[in-house]
Amino acid sequence: MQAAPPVTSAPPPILQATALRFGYPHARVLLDGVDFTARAGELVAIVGPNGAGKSTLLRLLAGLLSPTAGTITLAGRKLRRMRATTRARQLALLPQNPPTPADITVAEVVRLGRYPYLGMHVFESPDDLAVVDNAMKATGVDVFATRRVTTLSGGEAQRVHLAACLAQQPRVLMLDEPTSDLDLAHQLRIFRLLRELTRRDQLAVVVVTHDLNLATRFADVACVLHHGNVVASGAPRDVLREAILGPVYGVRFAEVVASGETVLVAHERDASEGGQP
Amino acid sequence: MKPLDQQQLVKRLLPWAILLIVVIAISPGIGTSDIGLVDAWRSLFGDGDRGVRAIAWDLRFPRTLKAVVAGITLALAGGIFQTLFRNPLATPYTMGIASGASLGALIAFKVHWVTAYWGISSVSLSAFIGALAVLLLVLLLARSAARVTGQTLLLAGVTIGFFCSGMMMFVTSLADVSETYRTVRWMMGSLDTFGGVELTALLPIVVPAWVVMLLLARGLNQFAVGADIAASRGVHVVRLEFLGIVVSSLAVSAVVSLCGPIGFVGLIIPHLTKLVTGSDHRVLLPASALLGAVFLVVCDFLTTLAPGWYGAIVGQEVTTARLPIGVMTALIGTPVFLIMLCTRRR
Repeated sequence: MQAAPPVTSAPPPILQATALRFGYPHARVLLDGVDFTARAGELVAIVGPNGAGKSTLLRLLAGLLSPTAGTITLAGRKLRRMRATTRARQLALLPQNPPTPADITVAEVVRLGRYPYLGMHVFESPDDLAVVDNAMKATGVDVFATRRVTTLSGGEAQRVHLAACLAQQPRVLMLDEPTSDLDLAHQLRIFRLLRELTRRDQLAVVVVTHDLNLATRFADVACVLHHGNVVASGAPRDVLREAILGPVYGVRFAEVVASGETVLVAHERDASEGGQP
Repeated sequence: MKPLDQQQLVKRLLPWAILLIVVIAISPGIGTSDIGLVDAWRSLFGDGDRGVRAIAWDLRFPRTLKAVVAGITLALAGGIFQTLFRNPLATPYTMGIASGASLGALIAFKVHWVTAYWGISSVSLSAFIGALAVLLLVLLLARSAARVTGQTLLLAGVTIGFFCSGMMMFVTSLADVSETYRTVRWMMGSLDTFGGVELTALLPIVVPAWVVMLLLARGLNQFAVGADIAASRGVHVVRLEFLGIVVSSLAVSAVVSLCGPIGFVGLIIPHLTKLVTGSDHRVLLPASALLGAVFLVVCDFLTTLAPGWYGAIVGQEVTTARLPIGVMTALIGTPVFLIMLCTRRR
């Protein structure tokens, strides 16, 4: 499947992976020759069924796992050769459901994002704290900066973790299902925020998500993963279609046009078609 | 709360440090014999009373220093274990170290290996060997697991701990009354000192360990919000877990061998400190260390004072010289912990 040519001239890739393979010893291969590109100012959505390898891909791209084959470059440098803190200044990761210590405040969580910049210093400098303030303002969590994170709603807490990632001042921001526990309003708010970050700050944002409609609406590029392979990659309108997604998810999709947007609605295959390839 | 910097850290630690200095300073004046604070300090200067000086400064003072060393070590290890295991109930003994040390002590009593080498009792040595054996076994077990995580170490440690307890029952079933009694007394914990050698032997192990434990603070802050986040920000998570667990365990092994498994310090002190300092390990760990030391020293005071107070209340002379320190930490620790649990801010 060819990627659709971008409308404007594409900026150079900031994060690029070629022929990535990964598997644990004596276990099935989780990723089998994946190519992946993220560009500055682009929001890439990685979609696919459970077990397709989405989170594994994200962990590889973030440098938490080492590929068994293939290379990853971040800002033109080999990821494997980078010091962990150097990498962390370029790339921030927000995993699914991070644990929250009982007494930690919003500002404290966001300050943790400055870790890669501290070096041998024990404490954050005034400059660090200025970056932290900006990150809190950008995500709208500055209004409850002194509250404890455990007292916040899921959506607010997620924005706090996002602010901590922004305090890392990364060029690539990766999120693993950032909206899975959130209500509809917060889902929209998070995705709007992510798109804003790509437009305003020229961040490359990579999101693993199960929500195909949010991906259609907000992503610049959708990347469909199935059995450890990229089966399609390109503009969401071209890629997130029944013809591609049907076989991948093993369900049928109805494409409904509502308020000028195409919405995918999944329904189960008919029993008569159950065994069909 | 203001962002933490050097000035803030000093400001927040100062009250605890002053408290510790005060309790250490009054310690030579507190004990079973009738020597007060003024006598104790006066004996140091000029031609002070040699007998008074011996009791205040050669018996009481080293005892207090031992309490300080044990308090710092146990509180630091407790705080680190609670974060690394993501379990508020984790204690320095969760890894089975206390059980290993107790088994070692019991075996020493059982085979009547009661002597001293270079001023260190064979019971302590045997306990130390027991504790180290448990630590080694836990690490070997966890290493052969698919992925070494805090959880694997925790499970391996708890299991080995139970095994040691089982073996203690076995050895106890073969032991006579006096051997059993000595073991039980040993397990209650004791700050009794036999000369200064123990302390001198302890310091080269625990002081470097404290430094390492305090240096882990920043990594622990990251670890608290998730191992993946920590790793993505450049924390070497495996090294953090390994250093945190092994270095803490070594220090705790040394302390337990000389003082017995003194309970509650490692459990409640980090929680108690957290209520005041918040969860930033850069201030939480040093503050816990100071409070742990204060707590044990004060508990030690109470072990000598309480029998007298009890005697005054019931109106008769009580001859029991001293309560075991483990009794006092439990007596003070339990209500404090429970009150804290019930009144915790929601």
